[in-house]
Amino acid sequence: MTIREVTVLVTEKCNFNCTYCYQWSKTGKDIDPLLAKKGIQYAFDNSPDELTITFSGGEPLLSYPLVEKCIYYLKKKGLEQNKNIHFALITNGSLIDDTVLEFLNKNHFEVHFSFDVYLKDQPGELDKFKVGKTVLRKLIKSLDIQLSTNTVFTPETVNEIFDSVQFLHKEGIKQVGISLDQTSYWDNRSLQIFRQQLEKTEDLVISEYHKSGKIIVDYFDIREPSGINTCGAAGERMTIAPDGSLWGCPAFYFLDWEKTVEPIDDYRYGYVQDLENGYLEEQLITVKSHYKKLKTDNFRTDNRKCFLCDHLQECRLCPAQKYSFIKSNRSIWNIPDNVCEINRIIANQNRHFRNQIKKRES
Amino acid sequence: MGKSIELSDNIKECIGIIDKYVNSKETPDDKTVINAMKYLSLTMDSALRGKHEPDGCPVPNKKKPVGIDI
Repeated sequence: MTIREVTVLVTEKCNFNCTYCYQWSKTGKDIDPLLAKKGIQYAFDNSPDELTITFSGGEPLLSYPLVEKCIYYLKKKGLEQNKNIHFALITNGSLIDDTVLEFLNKNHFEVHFSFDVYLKDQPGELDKFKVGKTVLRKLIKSLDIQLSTNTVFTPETVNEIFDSVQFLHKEGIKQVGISLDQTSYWDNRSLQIFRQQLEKTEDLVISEYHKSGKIIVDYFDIREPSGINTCGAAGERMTIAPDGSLWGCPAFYFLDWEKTVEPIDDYRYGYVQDLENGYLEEQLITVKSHYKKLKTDNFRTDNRKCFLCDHLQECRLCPAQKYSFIKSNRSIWNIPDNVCEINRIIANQNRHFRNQIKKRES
Repeated sequence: MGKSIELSDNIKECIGIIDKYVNSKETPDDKTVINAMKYLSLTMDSALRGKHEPDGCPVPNKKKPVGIDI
């Protein structure tokens, strides 16, 4: 199996306790260094001429020594076999001191900073925003770090999307990510605010696009739809979890399988321990075929089948994330109506966005 | 001898919708027929291109323009 991107969940521990965290199954486990090494080696051996390795968690910098060891190991292997290795880190930034910063800069890391901008500290989160802002500014100044942010909005904070995008843009962030809290129910009122906030943000995105040619908020996509979207886990990716299990994507590891009707083994490749004896080869092919079926046209909502939807080609649906929106037994193929509505809002906004760009260009 | 092709349930349903529209007085609403035709054209196009589908991952910063071979 060809692998171009491997994600290592180095720990399930986190020094934050965000209310919207979707990692319900957290056991506080760290990955065994030997398992991490074996998994990475497998990914390296099965990569073509380049490999991206992403460290995630929990908060991966709680296991900084392990991240360091993995980098040295991969850099050595990359040099020996003439492969390009790219490094990425998903972090809340709180543990980035000068030593870590220098390390990330020296190794040309892509840093995806989970930065929850509320423009003020929330009750019980003393100085979190202040600390985050200081780290953010240090990261921006580090020229060899490719920086992006991701901010999670809840139904209570969704009205701050525009303000936070504007703030991050002014600070100098070139790639701003927006996510919605998956653990809350999004009612019509909060969806209406979400829609209004996207409309408001669009003007800023268009204006920046005309200045720099870059799209600063990743919800906005200038590319015309080019087919039926498939779950990214069907791509050339692999995730190594703290217990040594292997998946197409971290979202499947964190999915609450007890609440789904699908068997876990349809989406779990197996364990790192099984790689050595060749046991996994057949399983890899079977599981990959299950991921490949996770195409938008195979899903359905309570009221309709997705393949007959107006937004078929524009819908970017994560079948693993949607479980968090609801908390009852559902099939992976069945999309709750309000999750469908979120995707429709994004799809409509993108249609409008592309039309506005075209209008201005003609 | 022509090669037999197994049609997916979605394609069979699309053919059914269009067939009903063409042959019967009881017509499905126009939008459904149009979307069924669009779907047939899209899957045919995708099959001819070797079924290379776009990566639909919505996770921020993961939207690299890569495709997935189906």
